[in-house]
Amino acid sequence: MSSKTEHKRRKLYKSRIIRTELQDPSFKDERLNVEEFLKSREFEVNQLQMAQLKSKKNSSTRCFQSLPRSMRRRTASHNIKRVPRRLRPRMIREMTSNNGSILSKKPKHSRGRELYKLKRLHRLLKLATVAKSKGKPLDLPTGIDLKEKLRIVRSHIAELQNAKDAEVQTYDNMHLKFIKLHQQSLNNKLGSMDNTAVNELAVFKPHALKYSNRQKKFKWLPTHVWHAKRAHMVKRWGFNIALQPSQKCYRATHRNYLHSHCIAWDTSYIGTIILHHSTSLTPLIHLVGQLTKNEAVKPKFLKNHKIWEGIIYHENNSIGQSQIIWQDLPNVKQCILRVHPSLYESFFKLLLKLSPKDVTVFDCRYSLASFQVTGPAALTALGAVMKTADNNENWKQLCSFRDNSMVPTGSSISFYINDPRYLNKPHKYHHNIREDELDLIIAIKEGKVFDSGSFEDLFTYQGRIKSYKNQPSLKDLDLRRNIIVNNDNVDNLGKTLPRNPDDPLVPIHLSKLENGYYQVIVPWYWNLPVWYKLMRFPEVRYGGLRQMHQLNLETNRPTYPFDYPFWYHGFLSSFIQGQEFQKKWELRPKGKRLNYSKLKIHNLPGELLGELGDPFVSDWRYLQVLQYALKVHKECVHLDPSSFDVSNWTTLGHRCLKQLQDVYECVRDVQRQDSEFENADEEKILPIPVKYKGEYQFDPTKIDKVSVVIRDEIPKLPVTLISVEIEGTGHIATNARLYQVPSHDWQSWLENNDQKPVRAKYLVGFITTGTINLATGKHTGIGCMSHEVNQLLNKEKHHHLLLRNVGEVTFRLVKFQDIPL
Amino acid sequence: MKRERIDGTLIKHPPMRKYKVTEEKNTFFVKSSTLYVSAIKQISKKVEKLNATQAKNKVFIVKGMGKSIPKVLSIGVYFQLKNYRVEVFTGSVKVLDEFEKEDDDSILSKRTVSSVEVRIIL
Repeated sequence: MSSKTEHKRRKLYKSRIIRTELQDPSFKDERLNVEEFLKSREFEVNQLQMAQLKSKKNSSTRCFQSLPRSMRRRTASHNIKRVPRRLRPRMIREMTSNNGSILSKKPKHSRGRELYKLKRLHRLLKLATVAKSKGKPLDLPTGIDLKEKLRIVRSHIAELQNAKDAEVQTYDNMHLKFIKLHQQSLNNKLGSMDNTAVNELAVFKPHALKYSNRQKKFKWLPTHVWHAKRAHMVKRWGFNIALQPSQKCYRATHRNYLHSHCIAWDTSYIGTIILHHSTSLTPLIHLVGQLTKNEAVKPKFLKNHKIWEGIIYHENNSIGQSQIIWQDLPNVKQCILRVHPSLYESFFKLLLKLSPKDVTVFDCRYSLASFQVTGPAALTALGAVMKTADNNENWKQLCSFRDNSMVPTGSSISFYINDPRYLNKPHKYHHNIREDELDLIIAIKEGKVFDSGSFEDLFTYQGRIKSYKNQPSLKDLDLRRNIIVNNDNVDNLGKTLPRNPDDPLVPIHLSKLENGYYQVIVPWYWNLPVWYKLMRFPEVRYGGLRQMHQLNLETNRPTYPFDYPFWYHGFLSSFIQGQEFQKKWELRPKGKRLNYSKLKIHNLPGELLGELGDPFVSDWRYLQVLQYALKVHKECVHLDPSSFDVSNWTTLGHRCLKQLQDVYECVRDVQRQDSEFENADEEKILPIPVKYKGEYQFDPTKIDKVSVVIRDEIPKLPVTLISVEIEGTGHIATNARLYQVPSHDWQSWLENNDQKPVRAKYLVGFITTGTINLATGKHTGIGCMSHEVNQLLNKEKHHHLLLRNVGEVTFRLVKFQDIPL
Repeated sequence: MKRERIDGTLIKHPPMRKYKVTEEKNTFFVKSSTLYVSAIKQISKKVEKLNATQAKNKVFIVKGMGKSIPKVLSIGVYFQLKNYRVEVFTGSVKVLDEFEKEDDDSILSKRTVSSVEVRIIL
């Protein structure tokens, strides 16, 4: 054995030994010396504590292994800059002693043909950048050599130059002409441009030409590259969105949200539509009133810059959620609508159809970005990054607030900020104003703390174009920083840069949403600089869609689209999720996966074997058919049995519902027909089986003599949103089944909590989101149940249901509560 | 001074909190709905925890306002009888009242409420 390994082994052995004083000196002459006895025990306790530390330290051979998880980096094993400064000397020692040197070999530079190729590639990139600055990035065909590519790009640039004026003159729309002119000769070196479309859907223009091919189907948000390094990404709704940070953070998210710190999300995927009228708000009020059942046009939203959040309707059917901001300024009369990307395109087309001729519809999907921040440190963090251009005492004071419930919901402020890249690193405002904080809150509520200039600039294309004018590059800023440090003195190192008179100001809009989040809207190309700086503030964490979902569950709020099965995208997302679950299940060997079809759930005579409906989804279709068939069966019971035919089938081949078993068989029949229908044409998707509240279109008078269920005539089942909390022990998982407590077993369930078998006919709903809730310390869930049953239970003041997770046979008592839409 | 009457449904807002990490360890807020024994148990646990730390000036603060003032004081007396040194500070806090209306924007108005702070010195 080499001396090295022996040394290592000895070291490890030593670290595991806990020294003790076995031969106790305090026990002498059959007497106990208490003082000595205590001393030796103290020694032993100390040794025990030391041993714990030693063992931990020695098991890690490299310094970065002893860092807390959030500070560990993937490349810390070889990149010295990935460990904190204080550990770097030790790191160098470890790297040099660990065979080989810290310095890797100098990279060999390319020669000959390779070098020539690289140089040409460099030239190509340069030219492509010129093309991009002209506003027309070029998609190069693949499979041709570099020389050819260079030729194509050169001719493309020449073409652009010539066609520039000719093309713009053809636009007769004033707005379009202005935007196109700007796009063809950009006012900055960075390639930032305002990509607003007028009366049509905007075409996405990727910022970096290099990555344009990857964004054809799913667009990148401005912070994509930053997120892709640190989070799991997911392709949804035409965007690449962060799903969750790579590091586990379920408990951390809860703590950061509730007690300290804050969590930030890039929500640039939320689209913005602007309705513009040249002279008055009246046509816009009429149009928006129509869409929101006159909710968003109440006087309180039209003044004081208050944001409206709620449901939008089309022809009396709810279609989704939206945010609405009104802009009633002397020069600008606009209405700003923000909608989820899953809904965006259809909603935009609807608005185009509904809006009168003199109303212009701007698509600002790719020209306005946004991010949301929540948690006690949210305002402090925003204040550390967004420094106001003028001395804004109100903003400074607002940044000292840590109690988010104090800022009124829906209130908003707007102001200009400096380029956040002036800051070396974000720093808090040191604010010490003695003025009353409550006065500031009242002023915000009344819209007195509001800069209408920046508000106008942010939501007009002219203003956004202005905000990009002379936008300095990082290189420019570094040069300026160098000059200041060299000219004056080294004390200026790390100080904030002063603003040059040519530099642009950034208009931003900050609002408090109903869920307690702060939403910041910025021009698209300013999102990244702000985000970079925000992430350097120590109290900020970032989140993904899952974190939003988790916090919504903790505050008993449904999440769009997952918890809205009565809307198309909610129904679709549960369907997609189900497919993922099924794939996972199918991958397991047969002997090791749960056989759903053989479960004995409803252990009563006449009940069917197996899970109710599709075990991988909340099977709304099953519930719809079951509830309808039960209704028909109930009507049928009153009829005279002798009027029935002897057989179970009518002359037309439909099943008669004489007994409960017939109901179950009937549901099976419909399921079979559905799968035949789906198999016949794969692109056909069944209509959504449920709707939000409303009337249940069931006419008992139609049931006559023979009661049958015809597949195409089953009405949509009205459902309501509920949240449930488990009583006692047990867990709640997504897709769990909800049952009504049978009235005859009511006492045994509620008073004695006896497990009694429940019939499948008591199925009333499903859980769409369910897991442990750290806010209550129990399992909770959000789901939907039949509206009719809900009303009945509320009338009787019963707030309990039975819950059964998929694949389990235990029923658990849960308490439910209605959630308003 | 009698305050002017404002129409609308009244929503009472709590006073502003600091949400600092230290606040979590050494402060307890008493509501009018807080149960006396429950408060005693919770505070005792927190006091024990605070006592185990190696902080320099160990002070536990119990705060309450308005209707809950007598309860805070009786909690103070309880700990006094347990041989803790207890100090009492009176003061007032500002709160917001919101008067909500159907269509128009709600109105905020300020109000001062007397408050008490009991410091249990460890």
